[in-house]
Amino acid sequence: MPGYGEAADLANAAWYAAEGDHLAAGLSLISTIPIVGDLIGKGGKLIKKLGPKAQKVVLEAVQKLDIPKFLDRFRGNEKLAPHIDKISEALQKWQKELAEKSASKPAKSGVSPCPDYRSSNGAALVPNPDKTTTVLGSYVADMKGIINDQLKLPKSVDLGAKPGGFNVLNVPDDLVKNSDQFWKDFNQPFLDKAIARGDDILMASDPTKTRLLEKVTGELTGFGREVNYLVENGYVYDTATKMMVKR
Amino acid sequence: MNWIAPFKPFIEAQAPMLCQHGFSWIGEDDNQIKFTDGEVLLTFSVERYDDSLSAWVRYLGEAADHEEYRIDMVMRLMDAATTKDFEVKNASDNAKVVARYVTYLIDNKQRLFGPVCTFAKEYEAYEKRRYEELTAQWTRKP
Repeated sequence: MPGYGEAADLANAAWYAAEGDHLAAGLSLISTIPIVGDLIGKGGKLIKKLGPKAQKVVLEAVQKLDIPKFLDRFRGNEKLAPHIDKISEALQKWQKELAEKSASKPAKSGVSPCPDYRSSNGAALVPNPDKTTTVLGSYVADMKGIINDQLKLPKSVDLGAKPGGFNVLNVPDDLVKNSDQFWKDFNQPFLDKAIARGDDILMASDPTKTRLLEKVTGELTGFGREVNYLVENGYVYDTATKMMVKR
Repeated sequence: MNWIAPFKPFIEAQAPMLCQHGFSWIGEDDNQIKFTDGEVLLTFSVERYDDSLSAWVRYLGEAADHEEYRIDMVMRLMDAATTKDFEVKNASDNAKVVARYVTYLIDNKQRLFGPVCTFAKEYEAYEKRRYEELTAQWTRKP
């Protein structure tokens, strides 16, 4: 089996299987895969200690793994063969649990995914654990970095609630024809939903800096329109919390 | 999407003038193009979903206040420019406005941009006043 087959891992797997620990046996077999196996560790002992980047590598690799096909490689091993079906069942259950955990990972309540980050007005990215936290700001000054580097958000038209998480407007560019259409089709509905839900509205950029609100011609920027809309709807900027709050 | 691309030719046209005065093109992304002479950072910028170019300056030396000032606002405060001076209807207007930013920076760098920007207090006061005007206007709306 090119690329696989550390004898010690196979021996471990057989030992775990004989003991009835089919998941540990399966993880020992996965640990024969180069790189991913090293990250998981013998019998899966390292996976809980991995940092976010390494966990992501493992999760992506494991989620792509066709477990029954992978295990077919070991059916010729006389010590493992009687246990392959149970190992397969245990690994598939583990794979499903990992996928579920991975899907809900960003919404870990009340915990900032970027604890040391501060935006240009000094705001920290900490979501309200009980509500959706909507984040607004100048794209160039703050939101670009927040979307791409801090929260690593995909493009989306989802304007729905994200309790314990962040709500950021980041629609695919090809849906936007011009700034007026963007405002009407996406930005205003995004704010209407945030207002209706009573979201925490965190300002990443300082809305009192009019250099961010008005264009060179005096018209409002996209961020300026957002601040205008919130003020019209009874919000004021609280410099202490960096949030727009109801008067 | 590259939001600054429509303005890139006008900025490129000013690059020789900037280079002649010690500025170098130090980088660009989808929204910004940056130059510096080691003392001042000049950034041309376009927001996402927008079609309006702005130019910004930040003093980089020691004791800098780390503020980034918009050149058109400095021109309005210090040299009586008006918003009309920055209106653009066609490519020729765009070329003129970009050239105007560059000429203004080069001609006024010693006078305006240093550890203590001479316009900083006035700029801050203007923004405070303008924010109050805007919020009063928005609050009055039905």
